[in-house]
Amino acid sequence: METEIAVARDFTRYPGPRYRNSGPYSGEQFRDEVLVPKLREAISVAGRVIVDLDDVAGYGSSFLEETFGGLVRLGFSKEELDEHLIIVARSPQFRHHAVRAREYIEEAAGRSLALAH
Amino acid sequence: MRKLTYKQRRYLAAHASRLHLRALDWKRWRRLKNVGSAREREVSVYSDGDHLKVTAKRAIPMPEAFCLDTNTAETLKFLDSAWDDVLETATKAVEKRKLSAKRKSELPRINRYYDLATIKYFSPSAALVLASLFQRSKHITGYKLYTVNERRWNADVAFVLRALGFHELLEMRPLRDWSIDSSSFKVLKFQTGQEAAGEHPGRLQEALLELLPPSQQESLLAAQPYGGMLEAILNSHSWAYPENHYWEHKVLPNWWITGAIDTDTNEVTVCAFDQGISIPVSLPRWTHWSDFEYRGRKIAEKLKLSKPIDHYSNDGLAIRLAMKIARSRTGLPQHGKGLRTMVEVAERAKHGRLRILSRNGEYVWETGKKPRSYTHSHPLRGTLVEWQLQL
Repeated sequence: METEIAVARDFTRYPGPRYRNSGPYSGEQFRDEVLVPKLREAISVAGRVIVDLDDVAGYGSSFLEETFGGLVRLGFSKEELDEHLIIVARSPQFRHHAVRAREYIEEAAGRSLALAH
Repeated sequence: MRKLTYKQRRYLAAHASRLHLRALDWKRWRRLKNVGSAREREVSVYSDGDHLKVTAKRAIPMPEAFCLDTNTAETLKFLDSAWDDVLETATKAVEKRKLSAKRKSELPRINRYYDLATIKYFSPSAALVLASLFQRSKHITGYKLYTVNERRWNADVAFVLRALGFHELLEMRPLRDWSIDSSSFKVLKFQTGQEAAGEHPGRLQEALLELLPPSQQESLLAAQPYGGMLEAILNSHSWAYPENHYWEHKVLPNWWITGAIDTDTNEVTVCAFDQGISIPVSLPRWTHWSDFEYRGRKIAEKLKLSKPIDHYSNDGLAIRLAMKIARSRTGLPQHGKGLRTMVEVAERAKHGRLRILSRNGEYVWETGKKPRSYTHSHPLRGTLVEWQLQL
């Protein structure tokens, strides 16, 4: 089973800050209200969630870090995310955001590993 | 008490009236004598829909090039002195009003005014800083500042000010004809707020895109100034106005953004400003402050600096060091990531330039050049981030 989430269609065209208390359409809100429920469902049926980053005005690093790095902090393992989460950007101007989002997962996983040791 | 006759009473009343009229004549004569002298002049003030003639004691000339790029030192010097003057006047006006309960829009006696007629060029960034100052003054007093001799302002300057939204901050005369924006240079109305909401920078970016031909829209979308503006707004929201900070005048904890486009040179300017504590002052609040302090101390030793890295005389170096840490490290806290995103906007343009002015420091990143930093003798009261993007 594959579920697609388009940030522009399913959330907002103007992604906002990191936390809810800083302003509307935050990374925290997107992760908790849109991404996590779909991701849990996908993991339970061995499916995948595809997050499409295209067609928004742009992203601040804080939004992407809180959304994707925040998944690790919520308890999702890097292996789970590698298997069940695909981050895509079809247009060239959004591709670097997809790469950066993956990096945030790696960084957060690295930090949680370092803390565990 | 001696009782006055009717004749005596009439004489005394006439005498008092004569004295009063003579005093008024003398006052009028003195006023006319001073008009045109170095001390007083007659000016035209626009207020409540009327042009009024009033006398003003002193005109404070503004820099001919009101620009933080080409005339940085003079513009900073002017803004530094005007900042305290405007805010102090506003604060005093409120205190006075409380005492005398005057009508709020009553014209004050003009002791001095800022003569905008001396300006020949107004850059959008400098205009944004001035707009923010006028808005804070309006926030303190509750009413707009008057414009003086508006008809004598340079037409291009008046166009930039109107386009930017100064008519909402100053009592400006209404224009019959708005067809003045036929030039290749277009400025967008500033946006302001306190919340870190993406809609404002998003709409600003869309407005800039609408002004561009389709072939250049892609280039602007590739640079994505939205991300940089959002980070500047977020820094303003999270760091610029700490709760425990003492402000000399009533603070307006807002951010301000605007954009401009020159269709002749295909250059887009985007800028964000806040009146907060500035980057050098907020640095000790960073999670990576210890690292910053350590590297700062090493630099201070190497360059034989007489003051510590967080002293205002080292602000240029401090911002440059903060940018260096932000660009070189992974796993940075929010503040560092935001600075990196700001540079990336300039990096993604065909030719881009990022300039950060914060307190006395200035940092410049430009395509194909080494990053530069300067420390100015006069501070900017906040942080200005400006991107110039060649499409």
